[in-house]
Amino acid sequence: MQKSMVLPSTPETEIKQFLLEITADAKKKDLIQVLQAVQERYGFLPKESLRLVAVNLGVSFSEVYGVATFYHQFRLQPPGMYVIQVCMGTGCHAKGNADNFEHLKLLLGLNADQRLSGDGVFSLEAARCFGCCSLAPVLMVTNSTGSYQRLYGHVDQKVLKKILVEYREKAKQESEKECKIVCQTK
Amino acid sequence: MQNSLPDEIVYGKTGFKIRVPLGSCTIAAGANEVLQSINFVVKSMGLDAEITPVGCMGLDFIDPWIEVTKKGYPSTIYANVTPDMVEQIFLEYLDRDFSSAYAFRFGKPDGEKVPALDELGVWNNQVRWISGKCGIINPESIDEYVAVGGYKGLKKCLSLQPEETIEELKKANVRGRGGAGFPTWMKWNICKDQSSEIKYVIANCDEGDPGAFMNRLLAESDPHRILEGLIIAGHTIGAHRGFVFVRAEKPLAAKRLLKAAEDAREKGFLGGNILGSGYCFDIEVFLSAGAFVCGEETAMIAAIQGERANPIQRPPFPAVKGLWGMPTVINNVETLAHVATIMAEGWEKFAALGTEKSKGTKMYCVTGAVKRTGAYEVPVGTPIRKLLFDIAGGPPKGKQIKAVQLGGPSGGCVPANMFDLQMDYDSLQSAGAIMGSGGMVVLDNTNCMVDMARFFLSFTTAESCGKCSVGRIGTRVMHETLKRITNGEGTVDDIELLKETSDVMQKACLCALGRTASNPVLTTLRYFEKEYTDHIQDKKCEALVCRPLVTYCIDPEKCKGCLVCVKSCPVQAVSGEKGSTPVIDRTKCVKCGTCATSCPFEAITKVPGRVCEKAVKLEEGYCQ
Repeated sequence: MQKSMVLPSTPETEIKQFLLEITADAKKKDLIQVLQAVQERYGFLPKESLRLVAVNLGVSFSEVYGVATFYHQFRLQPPGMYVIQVCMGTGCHAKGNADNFEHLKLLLGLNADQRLSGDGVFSLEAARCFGCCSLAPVLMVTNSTGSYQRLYGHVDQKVLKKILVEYREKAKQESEKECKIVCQTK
Repeated sequence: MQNSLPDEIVYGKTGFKIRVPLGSCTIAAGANEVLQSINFVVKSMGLDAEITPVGCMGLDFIDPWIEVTKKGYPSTIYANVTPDMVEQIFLEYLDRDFSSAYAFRFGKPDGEKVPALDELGVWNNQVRWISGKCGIINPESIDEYVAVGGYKGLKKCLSLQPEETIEELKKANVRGRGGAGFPTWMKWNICKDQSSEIKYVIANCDEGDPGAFMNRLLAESDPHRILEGLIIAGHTIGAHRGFVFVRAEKPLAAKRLLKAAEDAREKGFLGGNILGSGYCFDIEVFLSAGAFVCGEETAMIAAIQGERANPIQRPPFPAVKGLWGMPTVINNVETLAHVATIMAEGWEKFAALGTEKSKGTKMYCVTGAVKRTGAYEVPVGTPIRKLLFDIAGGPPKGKQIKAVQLGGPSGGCVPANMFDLQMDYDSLQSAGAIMGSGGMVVLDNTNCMVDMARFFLSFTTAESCGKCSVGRIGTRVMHETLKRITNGEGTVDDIELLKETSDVMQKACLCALGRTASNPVLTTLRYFEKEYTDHIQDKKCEALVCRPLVTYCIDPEKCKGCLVCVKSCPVQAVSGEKGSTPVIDRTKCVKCGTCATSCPFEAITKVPGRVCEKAVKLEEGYCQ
């Protein structure tokens, strides 16, 4: 699994370089695909990337911003290491996923509008239907770039607790690994 | 069932085939782990078996299933398989002991207790016209699709004039399966008659409807059928470029469609000079970034052009002026699958199914409070009762079906006393619901209808694109009103306000999202007005869903004073001393229910209303 967390302070030159690569043959109509590629790499759309996309594709910043805020897929804030997407489809709602969402907020200690947990490990999102309604209620855990995805069915309060413990542990291992690599290179 | 498929598809090259379904839903249920286990067991047992990944056959309640077929043995399906069951299954199967099987697809031995698939209500009440190959063929193998008769329809179409193809579809009278039910031949005919050089076709696999997953299932299990339909559409209207519009939340469907397109290109079904006919056509899979309004044709076109998906005024319809201003046909993938099958099998068979006005079959996804959830294909006009009870098995034990929600956020709720209603475009419309894409969410007495209406409005409010003020403000007004009611702050005037707002929105909204957004409210008001008045006047939610209108209370007769609830409460609202019944502080309680689930004696229960009815017995220690 690739390392997912990229801090909002990503060096501008890196973003510039990356955007030049992906917008080389891109036209105005490819705007959505370009933004998808940016998000796939950084886990969200950094502000500088939106400006650069606008310049490179020859469209106005407001147009890029308009598209980025219109579709659900795009995030403008950096997500946690793991994103918990709680399905808010009809089937899941009927089976009580709204309660699960509230319970997760409680477990993660989030305020009304806060979506990123204090330790930066989890962010919470409401997702549209995953099409796995027969396993309702479901939620999906992904890493920030979406390269890791796992769906959990028949979720209840016990499962929620288990998931949080499992991924906290995973996040801990990840950051330890990261630390080791840094130490070795030093 | 008689086995009409070629031997190689049924038994594989080795005469021993094991099918494992790998769709999003079966993978989530653990199919990948089962596959690993099968690989391991086959190797360790030294079996000469071919392990084939297939799609999902729609029987989601038996996920993950596997099917074992060996020459000379029956084709046997095992349900709810776990990795550690695999070895036992193979040992028993080879020993001709089928007692743990779910059903036989064919070749049921005489006197066997396990039923054949055809003897099961969930199977024999279906007509699997387009989904017939789902779960049988490998979706990533074009050879298997061709071997079961794939691309036959395309070959026939290429030998016909476009007018003749349209004539076939006209005789079949196939109507759009996306929900609106516009005759497909008419849409194609309008587009064909446009004189423009450049035309486009788009397959709509967006499936934004929460609660519907038949498009995902088709794309994951039989993607070539969709492509075939798309190529036929392209040939008929004279387009050379097509798009498949898939939502990014369905990555597996997109992956299978991409692979299918690649294979089709290699085999000459796509690209330049298709099958030597001189006709050129190619497609692109477009990954949508997700917006419900993309289901509206003009919004989908805007999304493909890389813009915000704002709908625009129709007419001109996309068939006249669509993608980049060119004539464009947009069809739901289910419609395209029907077209491919009609061209291959002939319109007569299709037209023999269904009702006078709407022919053929329709896929429905039945979820919620039924025993057998899944995606089922039945003739148009099948009564709701047959689908919910004969096929889906009715409610689980101890539950009672209250209503069924049809057609997603644009649809409505049909109450249980109307289940004899036939499911076709016109009958459903008269009941206030729509056929929609075919999602059916079954609601029982644990679902609050006011809360369902609020849920749908929260969905449409978030999804409304904001272009027309009636849609933008109307959905918001309705949502706020419903929120007030479910919070126990509703007034009698609110019902009138809801009706009035609905009326305005139905008349004045720019697109179908806004015009139909009030359907869930209107149908619940029409059939379940009592629940609204319960919420407004009595401040009660009988279904125990709306949090502000329920109360948790501890039954001192059951409580043993173990204080598990005190420890479990995340907001420290429960307090008490060992051996005595704890007290719940109403001002702190957030009604999360953690105490109720943690109580080992089931002493904590939810009751409707803001105050527990037992509160009158205050002196006896009830309810603090």
